Amino acid sequence: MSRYIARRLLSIIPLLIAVSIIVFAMSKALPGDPVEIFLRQADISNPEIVAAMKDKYGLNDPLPNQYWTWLTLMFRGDMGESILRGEPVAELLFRGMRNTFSVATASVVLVVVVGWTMGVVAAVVHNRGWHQAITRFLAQAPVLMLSIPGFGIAVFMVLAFGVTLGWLPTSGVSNPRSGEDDILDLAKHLILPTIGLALASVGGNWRLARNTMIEILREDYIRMAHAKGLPLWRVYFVHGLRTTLVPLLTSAGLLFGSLLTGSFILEYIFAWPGIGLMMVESTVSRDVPVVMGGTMLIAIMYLFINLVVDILYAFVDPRVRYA
Amino acid sequence: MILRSGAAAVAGGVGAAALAACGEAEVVEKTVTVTVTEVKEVVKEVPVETVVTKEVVKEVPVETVVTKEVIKEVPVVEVREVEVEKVVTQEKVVEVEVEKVVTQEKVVEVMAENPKADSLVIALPVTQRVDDLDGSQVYEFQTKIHAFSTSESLLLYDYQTQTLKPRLAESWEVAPDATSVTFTLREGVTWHNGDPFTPEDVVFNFNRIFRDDDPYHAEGTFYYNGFAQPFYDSTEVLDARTVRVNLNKPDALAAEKFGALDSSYMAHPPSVMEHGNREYSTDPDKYVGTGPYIPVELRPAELVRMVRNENWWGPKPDFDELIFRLFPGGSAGADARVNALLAGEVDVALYTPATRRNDLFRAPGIGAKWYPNFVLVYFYINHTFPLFQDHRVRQAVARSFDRVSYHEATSGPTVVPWGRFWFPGSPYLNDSAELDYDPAQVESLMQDAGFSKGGDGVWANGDMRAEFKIQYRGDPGSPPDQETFWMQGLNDLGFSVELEAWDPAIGADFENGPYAQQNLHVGGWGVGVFLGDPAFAYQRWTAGDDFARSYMDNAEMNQLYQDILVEADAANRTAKVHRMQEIAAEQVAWIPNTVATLGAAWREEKVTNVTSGATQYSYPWLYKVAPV
Amino acid sequence: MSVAAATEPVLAVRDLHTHFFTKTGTVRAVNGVSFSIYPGEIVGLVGESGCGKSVTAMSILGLVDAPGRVVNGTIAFDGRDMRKMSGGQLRRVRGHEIAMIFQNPIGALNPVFSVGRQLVEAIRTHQRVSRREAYRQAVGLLERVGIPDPEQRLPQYPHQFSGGMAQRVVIAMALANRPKLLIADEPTTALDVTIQAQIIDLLAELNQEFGMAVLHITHNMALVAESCARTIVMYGGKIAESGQTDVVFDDPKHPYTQALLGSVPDLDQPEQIIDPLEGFPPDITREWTGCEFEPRCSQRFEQCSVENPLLREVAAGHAVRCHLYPAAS
Ligand SMILES: Nc1ncnc2c1ncn2[C@@H]1O[C@H](COP(=O)(O)OP(=O)(O)OP(=O)(O)O)[C@@H](O)[C@H]1O
Ligand code: SF4
Ligand SMILES: [Mg+2]
Repeated sequence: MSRYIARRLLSIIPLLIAVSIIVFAMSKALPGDPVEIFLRQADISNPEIVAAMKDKYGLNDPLPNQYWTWLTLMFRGDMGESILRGEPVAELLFRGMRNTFSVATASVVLVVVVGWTMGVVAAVVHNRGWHQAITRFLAQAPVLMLSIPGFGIAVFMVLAFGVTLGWLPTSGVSNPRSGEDDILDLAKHLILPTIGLALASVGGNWRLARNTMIEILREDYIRMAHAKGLPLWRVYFVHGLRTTLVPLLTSAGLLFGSLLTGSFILEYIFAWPGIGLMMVESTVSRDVPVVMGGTMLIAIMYLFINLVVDILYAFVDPRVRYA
Repeated sequence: MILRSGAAAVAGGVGAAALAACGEAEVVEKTVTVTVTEVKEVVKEVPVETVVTKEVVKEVPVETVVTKEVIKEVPVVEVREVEVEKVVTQEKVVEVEVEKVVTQEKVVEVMAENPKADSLVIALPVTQRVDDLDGSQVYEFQTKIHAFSTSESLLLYDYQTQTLKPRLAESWEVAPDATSVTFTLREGVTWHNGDPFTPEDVVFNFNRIFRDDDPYHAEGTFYYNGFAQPFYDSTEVLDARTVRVNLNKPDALAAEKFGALDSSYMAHPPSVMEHGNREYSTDPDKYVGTGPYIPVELRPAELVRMVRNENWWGPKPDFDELIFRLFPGGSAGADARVNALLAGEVDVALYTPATRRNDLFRAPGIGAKWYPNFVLVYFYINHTFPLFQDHRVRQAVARSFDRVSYHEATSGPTVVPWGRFWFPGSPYLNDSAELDYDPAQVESLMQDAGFSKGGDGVWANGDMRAEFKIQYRGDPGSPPDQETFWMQGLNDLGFSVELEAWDPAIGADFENGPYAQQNLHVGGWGVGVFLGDPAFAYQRWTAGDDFARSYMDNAEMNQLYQDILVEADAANRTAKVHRMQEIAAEQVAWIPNTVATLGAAWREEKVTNVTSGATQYSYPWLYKVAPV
Repeated sequence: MSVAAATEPVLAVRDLHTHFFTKTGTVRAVNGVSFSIYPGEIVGLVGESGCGKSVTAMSILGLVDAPGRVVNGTIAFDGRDMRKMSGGQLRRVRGHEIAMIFQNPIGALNPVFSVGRQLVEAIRTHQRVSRREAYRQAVGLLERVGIPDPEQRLPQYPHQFSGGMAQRVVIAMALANRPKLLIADEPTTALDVTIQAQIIDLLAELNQEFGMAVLHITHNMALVAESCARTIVMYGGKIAESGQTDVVFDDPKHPYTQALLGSVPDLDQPEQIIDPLEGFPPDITREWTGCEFEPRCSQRFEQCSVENPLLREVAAGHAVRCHLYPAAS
């Protein structure tokens, strides 16, 4: 197992290098000169200032030098300074990532707790041949969830639970009046964005869990488990669930990875200061250090999550481990 | 300090236990100033029985200070200040014990301030540089609302009256030849850390802001210094209260630029020197200002928290604490601000979107209003198009748009239809320089220009027909927009107008692209007139990259511009600006449409007077707490 | 090879009907099947694909999946009616008194658990023994079914086993609790020929050694001839013919049996699979008025299409369901 992990870790290095080259090339391919765009916004067109700014951000060096400088600095955790905000990119990204991370984690938890559980329940209910109405409901509900656009439900929930009923905060990451960012306060603020962000995925995972488990419950080894005289819970939740987990883990891992890139729309609706909003704004205003650092960070997180998923995968499915 | 908080606890109704707890605080200073907080109102005939305040300085062999005050049956407690001078301690530990405070509950209640004044949450949109406290370094207008609550300039530009008001300077004077401006500073102003505000501080700041070679200019970002920097030469201290800014070329608006410009805000020199501009401006612990509120917490993109500066020079602001909650800009962010207000999470929402006006007007307990924003929105016109080369045709086209009816029907009170060339209420406004809707005028203007209506009812002058296109940026399915509305109006008045879909790919080139030959462009271009600076407006309406498509060169206009730069006499300057407006209206450099507005909404049970500054900037220190 | 002793049968199935209630109609997968298995006896159950062999087996264990249901009949195991047992009672029989092995041994083992864990689970479900003791037993079982290096093999996962080895593991698992009856549903179909023989030999050995009865379901007539004392031939959810293997093979009565055996030209080529017949298996979603085999039968006559034949003894222990044999001789 540890050799497997080591191998997987090593395999990430060339990927990282490739990503860094792509990110660098992309930043160079962005149309518009970041410094000029930025300065124009501030009504400055003095060529001396432009040149000085370019010099400050090393935009006059040859490309390979620029790449190397950027890479080495980044390895030391120095992603430069945001052109737009003047703040260190690392700090900026950390802040955005922290907020994105909390809502992404909550979303995955929701997907696992609700989506997987309901999917497994739906499969067992189907397998036990319960009443048609229940079986149907458990099969159709996730499809409904999948078909509602997340931002639509988000706007509705804000108006219903935030504005009209006043049960939950409408936006933001904390209640400024309480002063402290205690965990309960954060949890309250997480509820609506999480539902908005994860509802479709809950539906998707619910359906995936259901379909997978129904398939698996038809497998010979499940019949074998029955034939061995195992109690039902062991058949479903040890023999059935464990193999069902394999595709589910992949799905949740991919979901987590994609959620970490931030959801622009939901961050907007909920005034959630996450990485998505930051990246969109930075891209639009050509804040290249932030775009580069952010893309790198997202790529690294993505690769890392993939790695964790692969390891979990190997843990759950021995066939992968010995492949 | 110790007793102040103690007394505050009584005022807050906490009682003796809290008092005792407060007594354990450490005093490190050699001079202990004991202040009993002012208690403004006590209803008469409620006796305060006894308050015994006892200070025990322990383990100080040399001196022991005991302060004892007994108040008996005092109906009104005045502001009391007890100063203990020269308490020399070696151990630096001063323990204050307050014994046996017996007050009646009623007293506590009455002594409490209006509880609604404790804190006010204000929703602000911010998209980019969100975390500045130094007014000189702020990028966005919106963010200035919190920065300007803690950071101050020498003068304040009052958008209500569009005049200058004293702030850190009490008076100012521009030299007759407009080559310098002298500011007389307010007396007794202190920085948040207690340092006095001095003329030397002004020198430091102007050099920091306007001199590229100043060591403290380097890593600062002074976005708006470009308007004043070309004029700046040096700053001199004349005496203990007076500074003079010397210009390198005349500028009649030197007081506006150096006194109230968005980048002329005063930073605390020792703090800037110690921490640098960036840290100074973004870390509440390193920031020291002079303004009515003191920042205590800053979470970028999330919130800025400030507490009242009890030593501020101005009238005491109502709210103990201001919390600026930061929202994204754009329409979703605006929605979120309105939702937060409706849900009671914030007390004031600024920059509320017009689209939510009905929600806000209908909601009980919510006040909402849209205030002029001092940005003129205008249509521009292609002067190179043959039909438009006659200014009378341009005037006729301009007078064919019934902006009042249009905006009444569509945007209601969130917009100010405006066919003039300066802002409502401005001393510069020339009310006769207008391009209002007037069908009769259209008729006579076209006739004057040699046009007559042909058989098809369209104006024609020989080969030239009154035929053109309006660039259309709207969504064809949406309710009638300005373009459609205007097109119909023009067609009714004898023009033959069509809409042409705006293609952004080719739209940018108005000089040579396909659009160069034909059009009137309808777009939401805004002209912000900065600090009432006519020069700024002049540049906007005659030249500049973005506006080259509307370019018109006019010798008289150019001369007037040169003149107003050095015209220090207010009446003469006004007359010249009036004349510039007449030329603009006659020549139809562009067609005024509306004065943009900014919305503000607030919870009426909590706060009033949000109106006062909800213009370009809003001034939260002028907000009033709603009566109990 | 033991011959049925004249004692009480370990399993007596009477008039078993198992139907699947699907949207397209009622599938009468097992439609009136009766047979008995005596202690220590090996019985072969043969018939073409879809004739109801597996459903019969699953019915015995009460493991018919929805939408299927045993609608009629009795299944007496060791004198107890399996159909009247509660879920708990059934589970005490399954894997304990009746064990079952499947066609695809790799598929019958859960891929994500080690074989040791699955063996230990089988043991500990029915015996109150410690994990360690169960593990020790598992080692013995693997040894018994002929897996070398059992200690090393136990922590391994099913995908690390060959088909034959995996089937040995499955058999070991089935033997774990010394069942009275082993139902082997095509235990060798997925294996190659040499391995098939080894597994059959192993089953025969174990049958001798533990005295457990075996219901051996297969397509392979040669295997039946070789290893089973009695043979039951199924067709369309019903028993077509049953009797002592040598009798059935030497003197097949039912035209279907004859056709099956006719298609085994050489006993030395046992891999020859059956499906020698022209035409298709009968539509079992309807009740037949005539004989189900009639459309394909070379010996059919008028009565065959109007009357469904009954299973009748043509000699002691030899029963046939065909109008050609109206009564016992
Ligand atoms: N779940 C089910 N739903 C509907 N019909 C079923 C189901 N399971 C089995 N059947 C039907 O029951 C009949 C008997 O199936 P069974 O599996 O017993 O055949 P078999 O004799 O074991 O064939 P094979 O040799 O292919 O294993 C078949 O026609 C099949 O279509
Ligand atoms: S009953 Fe008739 S059709 Fe059926 S097997 Fe016998 S002979 Fe053939
Ligand atoms: Mg079968």
